[in-house]
Amino acid sequence: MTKQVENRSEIIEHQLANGLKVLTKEVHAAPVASSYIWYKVGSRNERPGLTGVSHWVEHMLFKGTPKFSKEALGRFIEGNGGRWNAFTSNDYTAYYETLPADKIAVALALESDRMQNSVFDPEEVEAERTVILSEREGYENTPQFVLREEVQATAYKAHPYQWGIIGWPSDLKTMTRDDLYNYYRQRYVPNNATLVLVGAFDTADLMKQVETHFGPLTSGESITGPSTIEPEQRGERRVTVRKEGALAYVAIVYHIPAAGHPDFYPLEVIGTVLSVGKTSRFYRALVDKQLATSAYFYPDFSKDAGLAWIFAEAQVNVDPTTLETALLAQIDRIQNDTLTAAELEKAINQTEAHFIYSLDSVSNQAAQIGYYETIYDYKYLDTYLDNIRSVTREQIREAAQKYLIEDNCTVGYFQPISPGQGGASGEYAAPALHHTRQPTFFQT
Amino acid sequence: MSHHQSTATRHVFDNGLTLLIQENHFNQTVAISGRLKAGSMYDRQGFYGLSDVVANMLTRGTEKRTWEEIAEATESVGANISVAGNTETVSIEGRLLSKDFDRVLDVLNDILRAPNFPQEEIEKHRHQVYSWLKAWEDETDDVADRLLREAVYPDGHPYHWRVQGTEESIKRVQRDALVDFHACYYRPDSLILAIVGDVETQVLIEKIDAAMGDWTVNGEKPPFIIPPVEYGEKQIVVKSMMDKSQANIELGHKGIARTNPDFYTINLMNAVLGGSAGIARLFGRVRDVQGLAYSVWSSFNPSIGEGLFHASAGVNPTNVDQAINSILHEIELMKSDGIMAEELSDAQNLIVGNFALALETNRGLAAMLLTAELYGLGFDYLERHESIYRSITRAQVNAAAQKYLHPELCSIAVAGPYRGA
Repeated sequence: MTKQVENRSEIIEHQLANGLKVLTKEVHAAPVASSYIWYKVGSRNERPGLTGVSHWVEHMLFKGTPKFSKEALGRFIEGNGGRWNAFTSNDYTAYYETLPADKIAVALALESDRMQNSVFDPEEVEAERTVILSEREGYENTPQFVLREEVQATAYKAHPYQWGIIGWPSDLKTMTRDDLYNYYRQRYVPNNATLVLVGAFDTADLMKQVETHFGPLTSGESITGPSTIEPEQRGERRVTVRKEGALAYVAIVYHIPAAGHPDFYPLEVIGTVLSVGKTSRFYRALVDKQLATSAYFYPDFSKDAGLAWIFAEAQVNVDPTTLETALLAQIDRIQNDTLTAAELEKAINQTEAHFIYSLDSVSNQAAQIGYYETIYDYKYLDTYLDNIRSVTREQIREAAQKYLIEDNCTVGYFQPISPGQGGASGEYAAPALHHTRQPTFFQT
Repeated sequence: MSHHQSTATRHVFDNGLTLLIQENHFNQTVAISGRLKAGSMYDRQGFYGLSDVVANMLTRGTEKRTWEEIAEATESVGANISVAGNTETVSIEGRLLSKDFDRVLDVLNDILRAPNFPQEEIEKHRHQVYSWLKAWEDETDDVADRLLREAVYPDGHPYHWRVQGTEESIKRVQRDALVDFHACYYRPDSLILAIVGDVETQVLIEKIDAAMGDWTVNGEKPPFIIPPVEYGEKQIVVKSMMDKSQANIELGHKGIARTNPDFYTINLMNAVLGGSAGIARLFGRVRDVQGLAYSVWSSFNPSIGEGLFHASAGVNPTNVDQAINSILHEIELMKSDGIMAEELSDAQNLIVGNFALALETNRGLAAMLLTAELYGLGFDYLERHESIYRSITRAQVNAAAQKYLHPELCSIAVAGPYRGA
């Protein structure tokens, strides 16, 4: 359809002898380049007692190696005019740097070093324990997080997707330095990683540098995911959280297949029809009718069988039962009435446009390639739009009838209680106080 | 570091509308960003939030389209236009495929000039604002931010109140007032449009002229001024929210306007104090060494007026007092001892490098063009950016720290499971 979509085929695949897969794509639109290294490790690889270890390991990789102290690491990227960060999910952990193109080798030096040489100094581990607990407490302040964690734990009874990426508080309080370090050493090996490089570079030149930096790393044992398969759900599950808050929230989740299953495409179109834009069905039926401030549907794209999520925030004085009824009425419609041809066409147009918008920076492109490669296969992107375009209205109905059913669903309510019921709260001046996304906040 | 070579065009139409264009044919997308000088600074006392209601009502119906027709016209081709009210301006953001430009321009022209404020839509929006306001009052970071702004800026100052107003003030907003506000402040000489992407400059100028050239100006252009403020008395304000897990701290005082010549120097100083993760002292010391908080940072918010200087942290309630002391200590140290030579060069590299990264996307470039225009930085600002920062000395940064940091005047706001020391 457009240049960018054709550009997909410009991704070049390389393989180092130690098993590291490297995907490169030259983009010369601006003098910038981006490096993303993706490890196939996330909360799905954890066990009770060590929940949250993948994410904590990610934090420890910012704490230094014998070669680069943590201060040096920070200066290395930002002092070269770059942006960097990392993120952890249930299926992966990724580290990125975006830099002026002539500085991209800095990222290779940094990532190849910290893949195997991070120190995990015991004092740093303890300082980070409180940082991680603080991160978790920040999340706990929001009803969305609290409800999501509860619903996940209810929808799964066997698979590791039942706990959140941040982990349970007791594990975060008791995990040891050796737990973290051993987990790191086993999983941070070149044969468990994909390096994605996108930007204004010469591929042959850059690959020589990749070989120099990553070639000497030794490979490890191959990593397998959890063997547990979530048993089939045979009946609706419900869970309620009561906590001080302002508005009610409703989450409804359904088990769906893992990434790569053909039913994912109709489920994704359902997500667009229900929740993208003001002409979406959820907006018309819930937001415009003053029941919700927002409502969306999306299917997880995950290595193991995941969930399709419905999540809605109630408007003031709307109770969760009313909201749930209105949400389920829209699921009923998808199951029982065929979409109009215009609705399907609009959904496809929206998907195509968003796909093209998502290619607007080298950083986004590298993120997207690595994401699909780590969860499933980067070539998924080659056929993605064609597969969306070929979804039929009948397939949409069938997918809804197969997955979005009561026996396969977990419903969660966040029921706000008034401040004061949970403890005395109030606003006051405090003369008695005595004293003697990290986002970047500078201006342009 | 490569300098940005701008090939942008600036065109001012007879009716005062300013158009900034940068062609980028790398892909077939277009970013439209606009700023209209019609923000909450123009709200009258007692009617706070009115300007924001007007901004929100633009997409809720015009003389020739219902809200559904407005949404359908853009969404059916995967384009979008969003409008948001801010303190000084109303911001317009659009993203589209270049083939759909005419269609999107027609909608944009319609919603800016001919909204008809249907009563039913006003009520729906009002109801939604009540929900937003209630939700924000449940968010500890939002509450701490509000409390600090109320402490630093006197009642009646535009930075004191929320852009969305309060439940009481929104309740008073009537349709006639919306119509009047629109007639007074939505005018072509108050609008800056930046269009970046797969467009032809001359063709675009003709298209905008054909669509908006007949938009006329009525009366004098309203002044675009935020009154200066004094450094206020230090206040300490707490909102106890005992069912939360984390307490949010906001502390600070008034900052500077974007047109202050010391802006660039202060920006460098703040990058070292708390404006980044890799090189900033607040992150390195309060988070990394003391392990007190997941997030801790500082920022100046230079704008038309003297925006807020503030430092922020989210911490366990048992660490509130220690975190406040540590942050104030870092501000004191910055003021008394200044920065090191190596910190200056790191901050320069960081700001110059990130500027280049921000110009990579159509949206990022449009934002820079708007900034340069809105604050009168000159059309060559993008080219000068690097040399401005490279020429600043350590002595200048240290002098700015002494002039603009006042730890003893910092007001402090805390929201969360905390009752005061």
